Amino acid sequence: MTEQTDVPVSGIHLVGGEMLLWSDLAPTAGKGAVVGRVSWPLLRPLAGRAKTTLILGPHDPGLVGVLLDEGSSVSILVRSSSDAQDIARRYSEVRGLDVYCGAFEQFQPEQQFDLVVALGGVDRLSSVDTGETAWGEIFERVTAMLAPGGRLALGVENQLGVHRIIDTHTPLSDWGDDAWSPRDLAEETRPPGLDELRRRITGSGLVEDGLYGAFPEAQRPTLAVAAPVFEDAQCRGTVTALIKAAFSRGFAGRQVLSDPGTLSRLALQNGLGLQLAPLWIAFLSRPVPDSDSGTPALEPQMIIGEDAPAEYWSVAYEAVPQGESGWVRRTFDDASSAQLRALGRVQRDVGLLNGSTAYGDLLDELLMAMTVRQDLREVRRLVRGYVEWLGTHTVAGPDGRPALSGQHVFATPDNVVTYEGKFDLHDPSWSFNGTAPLNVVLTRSFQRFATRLLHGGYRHPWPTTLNADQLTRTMLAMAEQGITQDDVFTAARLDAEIAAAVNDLSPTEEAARVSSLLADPTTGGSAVEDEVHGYRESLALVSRLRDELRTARGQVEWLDSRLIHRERQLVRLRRTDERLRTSVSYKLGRALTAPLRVPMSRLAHVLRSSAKKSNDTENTST
Amino acid sequence: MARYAGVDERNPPRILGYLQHGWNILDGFAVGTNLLPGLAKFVWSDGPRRRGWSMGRRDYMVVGAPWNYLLALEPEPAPERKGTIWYPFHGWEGQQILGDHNRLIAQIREVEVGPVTACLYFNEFRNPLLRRIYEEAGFRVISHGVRGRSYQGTDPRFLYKQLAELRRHRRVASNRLGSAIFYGISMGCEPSVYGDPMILQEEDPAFGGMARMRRLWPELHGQEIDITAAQEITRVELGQDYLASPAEIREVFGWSKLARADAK
Repeated sequence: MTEQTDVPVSGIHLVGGEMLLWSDLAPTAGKGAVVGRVSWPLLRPLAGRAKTTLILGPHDPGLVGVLLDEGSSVSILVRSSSDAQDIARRYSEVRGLDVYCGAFEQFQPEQQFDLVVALGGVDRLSSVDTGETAWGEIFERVTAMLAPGGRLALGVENQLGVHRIIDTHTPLSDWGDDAWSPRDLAEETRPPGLDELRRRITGSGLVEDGLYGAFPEAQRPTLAVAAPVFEDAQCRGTVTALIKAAFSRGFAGRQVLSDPGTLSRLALQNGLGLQLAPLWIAFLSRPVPDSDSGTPALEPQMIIGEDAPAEYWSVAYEAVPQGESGWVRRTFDDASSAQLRALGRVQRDVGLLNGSTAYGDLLDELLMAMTVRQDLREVRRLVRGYVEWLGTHTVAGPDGRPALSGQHVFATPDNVVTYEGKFDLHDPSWSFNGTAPLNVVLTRSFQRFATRLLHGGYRHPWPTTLNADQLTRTMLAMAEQGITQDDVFTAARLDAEIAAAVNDLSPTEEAARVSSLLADPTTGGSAVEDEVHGYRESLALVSRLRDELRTARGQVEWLDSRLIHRERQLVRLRRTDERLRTSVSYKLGRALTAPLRVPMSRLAHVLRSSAKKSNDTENTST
Repeated sequence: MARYAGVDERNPPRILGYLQHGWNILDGFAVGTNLLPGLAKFVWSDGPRRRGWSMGRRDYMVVGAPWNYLLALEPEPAPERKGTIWYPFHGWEGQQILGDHNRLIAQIREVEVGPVTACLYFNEFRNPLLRRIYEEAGFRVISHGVRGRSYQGTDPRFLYKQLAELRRHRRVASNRLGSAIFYGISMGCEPSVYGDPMILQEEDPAFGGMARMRRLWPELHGQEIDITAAQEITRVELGQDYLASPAEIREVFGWSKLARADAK
């Protein structure tokens, strides 16, 4: 810190209120910069048309390079002194960049800009020296920085987004270092909700060119869905799946109040998908006076920014609904996206994402819905259809059993889309360089499903006494697939191998995952670390375990009472026996049969020992 | 503060916490102050609280500057003001600063029209050589008293003396923005900040130095300063809106039991 402040990097314009002991790019406290790259494909063409661009607040420093590459000159304002120096150092060889450092309140640019990017919204613009300025005031000042015809990319965090609803902390009890004056508490000028935000935009004389709901977090959006897509019923299945995937990656291993995937699905079903999105990204333009030609509207679409947990695998692509026929997917031009990526036996050929796919639902979603609805007939139909479909892609494995290879090893229910009774891969770019027995792939699929079912405490149509292992076997038995204990072990190893490659795990972590999956097969394995831990789901799980415990106790009590009953019976029988043995008639009988008993017992002894000998010789010969 | 709170002012009790000593552009306390965790930090304004909070410190309470409490106790008499009271920013290295003092005096004579009172820091006031330089320039030379250290030798009448002096002058000036300028502005003096700021060589970089102050409060630098803007900033920096009641001070300073004992 001292070293950095002592040796200032030249080319930084200090505007006042710069924070010397703070960083949003390398945060030790606070929420950090906006690092979701999902907006980059949208910003690229805008920067290409802009002569001057202003980035307000801390963003992923890579964004600066992206915008400079498009030929726009870039000014950036950050409040942290060390962040400003990092950015200036990183681009010291590049022309066309001006780095400003200080509080937004002190920033008086001499020019207007063709493009203003503020994806963190008005947050993280003010400094400790100036205190927080009202939302409305900052919005007005930002608007005034736009040149006529200029565009503003504004991020607005939804105070009632899914990410906030599931948060275990309330803003009222935020004692974090960045909460010196929490803006979202009692801030009258912040637009309450989406409708008011849109009214405010219109009121300021700006035109909305496009509005996106972004997931899973305001700080790190990885998925952006255009407003009209939320309203298209055909798109719902895919949108639900992508939002759920974004949440399970973004919240992996975190404690939340409730599973964000379930909540999002409910929000979408009730037409509140956009209203409950964690972040809104609005593209606004300032009309040119006395001109009819507006700026071209953005194509309604869906941008998937980062779709894998480790950056190496991640690819950015767009999905555009094409009328009745389905989605058209296009990856964004990028040198790295063209080549085949591989780690161990796991591969990804992102080029395969390009092309059309049908509208439809993820098998996993549908299967879960039918399970919860206790519709066994439909579950059976789906399971059979899925197993049959996978069966058509089998090859002969090394042991002669049917096996899967390549893409279809990844055909787990969460990567299979189903429409009109047909099945297809949702993301065909992943593949496995090797074979895996069909039964192992199926075991992995249904084990994951069964574990999720039990950990979520979800309703299902089977006896509640079944554990995950038994549920897996039961579901597979629906399609007449029998599995062995060996299949269960191999499935756990395959799961860990894939997870290790995709999540960039160390061999130790991979081994831990195997043992965690096999930890206690009778209760459904222990929780895997990359699961989202919802409090509500935990309560359901506690309730299920309580039921299990009650059942087990009931069984113990029942057995206990049977035992007591049998013991009483035994006592009665012993007494009878005693009475008989001490009777005169018994003693008389014993005395009369005594001469016969001795030779009889000798004979029995001889017979027993010869039988034992012949048994032993048989055993050694085998 | 003791007098305001209604406890024994001749033997002021220990405050249960830390009270900000002077105007500060960081967290309210000198860099390296070894603060006991969990003990209350009473600061002048919201700025030090925000900065301290961002550095991971909590237990702040904004009470405003003790100066505000003094003003509440000493209502202003009818003023008859003239001349300028000048507070040279104080340093420690005799020889180095001596040269600078001469240049500073030349600047002061150039700007100020009325009589000038030079108020020196006590260790500079005790230096006869330095005092003579200011006296030879025709200035009246004073000092408000000894700062003291570890509860020893502090002049309890320091602020009273400063109040009396500020009321006598029309202008308050210094080569560096500091408590005295804000005190002056709050008394209705015309402020002025100019001249060689005599930057200390080993100033802690966490403060960001003089330049940082200039960027944050450009309105308060120069020979002619807009009094309305200056009063607005002073209101914020001295925390004039945060005046607590005597009972409140007794409670938060941990003096309520003492006050009750005195009443018996």
